[in-house]
Amino acid sequence: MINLKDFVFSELALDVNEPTSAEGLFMLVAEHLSRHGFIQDSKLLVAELTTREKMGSTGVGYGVALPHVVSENVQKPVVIVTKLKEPLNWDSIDGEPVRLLVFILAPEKDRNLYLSLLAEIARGLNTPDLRNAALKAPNAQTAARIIAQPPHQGFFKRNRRLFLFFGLVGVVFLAAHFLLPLVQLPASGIYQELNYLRFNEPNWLFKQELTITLFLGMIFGTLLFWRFRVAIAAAALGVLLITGVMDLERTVKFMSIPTILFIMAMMVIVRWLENIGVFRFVVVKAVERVKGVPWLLLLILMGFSVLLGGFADEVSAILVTFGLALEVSRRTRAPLVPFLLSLVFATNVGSALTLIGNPIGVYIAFAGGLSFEEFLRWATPVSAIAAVVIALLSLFLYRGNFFGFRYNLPPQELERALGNIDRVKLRTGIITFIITVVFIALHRRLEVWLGLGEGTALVAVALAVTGFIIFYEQEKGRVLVERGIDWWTLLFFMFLFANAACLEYTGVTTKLGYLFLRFSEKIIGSTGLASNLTLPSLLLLLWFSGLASGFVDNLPIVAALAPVVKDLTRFGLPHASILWWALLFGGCFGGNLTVIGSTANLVAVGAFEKASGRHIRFVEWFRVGIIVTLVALFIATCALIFQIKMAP
Amino acid sequence: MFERILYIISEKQEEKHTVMEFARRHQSTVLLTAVSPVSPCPPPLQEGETRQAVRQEEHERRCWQDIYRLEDEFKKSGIKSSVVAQLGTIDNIRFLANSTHCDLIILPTSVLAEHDYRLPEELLPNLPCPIFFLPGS
Repeated sequence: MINLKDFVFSELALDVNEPTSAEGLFMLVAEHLSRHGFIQDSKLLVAELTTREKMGSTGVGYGVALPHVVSENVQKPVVIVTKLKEPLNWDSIDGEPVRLLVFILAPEKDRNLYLSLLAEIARGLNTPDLRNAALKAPNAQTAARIIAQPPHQGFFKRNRRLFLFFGLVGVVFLAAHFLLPLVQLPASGIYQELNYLRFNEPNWLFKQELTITLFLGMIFGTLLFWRFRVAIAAAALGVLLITGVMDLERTVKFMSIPTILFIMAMMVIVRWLENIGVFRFVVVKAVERVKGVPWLLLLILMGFSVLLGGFADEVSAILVTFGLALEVSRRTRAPLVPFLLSLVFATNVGSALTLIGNPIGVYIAFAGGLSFEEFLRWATPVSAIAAVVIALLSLFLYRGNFFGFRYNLPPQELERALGNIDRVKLRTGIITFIITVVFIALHRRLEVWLGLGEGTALVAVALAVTGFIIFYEQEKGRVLVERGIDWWTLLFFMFLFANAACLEYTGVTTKLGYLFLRFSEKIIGSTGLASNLTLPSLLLLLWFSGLASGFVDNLPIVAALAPVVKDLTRFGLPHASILWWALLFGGCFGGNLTVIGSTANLVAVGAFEKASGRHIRFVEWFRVGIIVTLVALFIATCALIFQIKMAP
Repeated sequence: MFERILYIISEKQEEKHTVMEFARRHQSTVLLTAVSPVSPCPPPLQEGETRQAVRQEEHERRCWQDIYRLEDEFKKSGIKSSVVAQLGTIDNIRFLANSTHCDLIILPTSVLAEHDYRLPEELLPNLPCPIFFLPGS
């Protein structure tokens, strides 16, 4: 292995502060090397570098170029690092102008060494950490030092996220240990009637400390180590069992199996519809009609994101609509970011449209005993209004990208995006989808008519349709179940639900509900439950869950707050059912705030990065996400306040 | 017809002459890269993480040397060529094809040997351009 320090001389590194051309830069470097005795003829080197560049750009992407040449003109192998203040177009593979150039030069006799040098430098700059450090270096000398000797990461730096995780868990435990005894439920009224006073006892206090530490630890863990979220949730559940906070029977009950069954069956249905091309077909047919008008195309795609987000699932919605946006962008070179953000915003807002759009909706429906029809009454209008406003807002924010021109999109080009679709299966799929939605919409009536328990028909319809699909697909049915269901996510949901329900079981959410009421009382300056505390509770729930969902996965937030809403309902708060909708809108709309706000965001960003080869920065998302989230939450606030008296 | 060809080089580069000939005929620019920079023979079971990392590094180094050696050969033969900044895995082919805006991918079948000659399931239907499989000689 060669030692780069022997060839990369930081004292030779060159900062170029004036705008220049490729040839001007070559001349600058050649004269610099000539002065230091590395080459004989500077003009010859410029000619050689220029000729080589004409035979193919040495720009390797990410703002880096590696001009290299073997020449008898070069006295000995040398690497010279150059930083440009003004980025220079280098015809790089990714089209990005270059800011960092590493020249590698060697005489003919050192060809093998030259190749080793090239390989070593290319390998180093292929590492994002080193490349970014070199690009961000204040000057060329520092960049050269970084390239010659990559900074060594110590034990603490390498494991900083692990230390942060344990630090946060420790802080939460200490905070819970000292603060929980201070929150004493009053020995009167509803708390006495519901036997909640036991939550003030020391053995329950310990359980509360442990539960809250493990639950928040799970949230921090999933934020810091997303890949291991199932492991973290499983470990937390294991600790709850081994410490005796929960027993096996309760654990299984708390996993909310009906919710899991419903989500699982819907995953099969949606994946099947996606596989046979139902969603793609509908969207492509609609897009064909916009005749290349950019703003209309965006509106149509956003409309489908809303509808699919509400009636299928958010992941399928974004995969279908953003997939088509990728096709459009590939053919028209339209910028992808406006499509990416607008479609994700629409999907998240649309996922509150119905009960089946988002796991949050399913969870709230089962936790609050809410029917599909109630979703149509309470969630659909607000979600639809928010979707329209967000669509117009997106058009305004990205007006430069969608007005004043047309895309050249011949219908046959779009048809190619459809691929081979089996028309018989397509028809079957569309009919099945309509029947499923109709029966799910009527589940509460079916339950009453057949004398079934709440939510039974919901699960039954989803399972029956799943059964039909497996039967219809015959041998492919097994593959559909094995691959169509995201078992990893389902397991996470089960562990998460059990951990969240434990917060309710140990009385943490009861105390949180009590604090909620006390805080609400302070806001409106009154006491007692007789006065209307619903409004401040609604505002707190909506905005807290909305803003928190932006930074933490929204399902844990909703799972933790659902028992609080249950308790507030039990406490006899007037029109308390409106709080479920506040939680739903908070969870769904808040997902737009940051790139990690919801699963749809992560899926879309993954597809964007794969397609474009660039990353979305946190700030790039946040500066638009914050506007959209605030507007959507404001709409939800107004709509809920307006309807508060109508809520049961 | 093919302005930019993404050529995923194999370990022995037996197919390079065919690619050169093809690129010359179509006056294409060849974008060179490699995928699956894993050790050609499976590591011994008792091998520790450090040793595995060293082997991986050595293999990557060889890959880069091969890429730049080939770039040199292509340029000497009068074929425009560039190096793609990243080594990836088989799953990254789609990403590489998209980010380089290539019109054709050339993939020697020997690259797939470590994957039992199988491609990831979702690769082919989602590629943005044709893919040309070249058997080793």
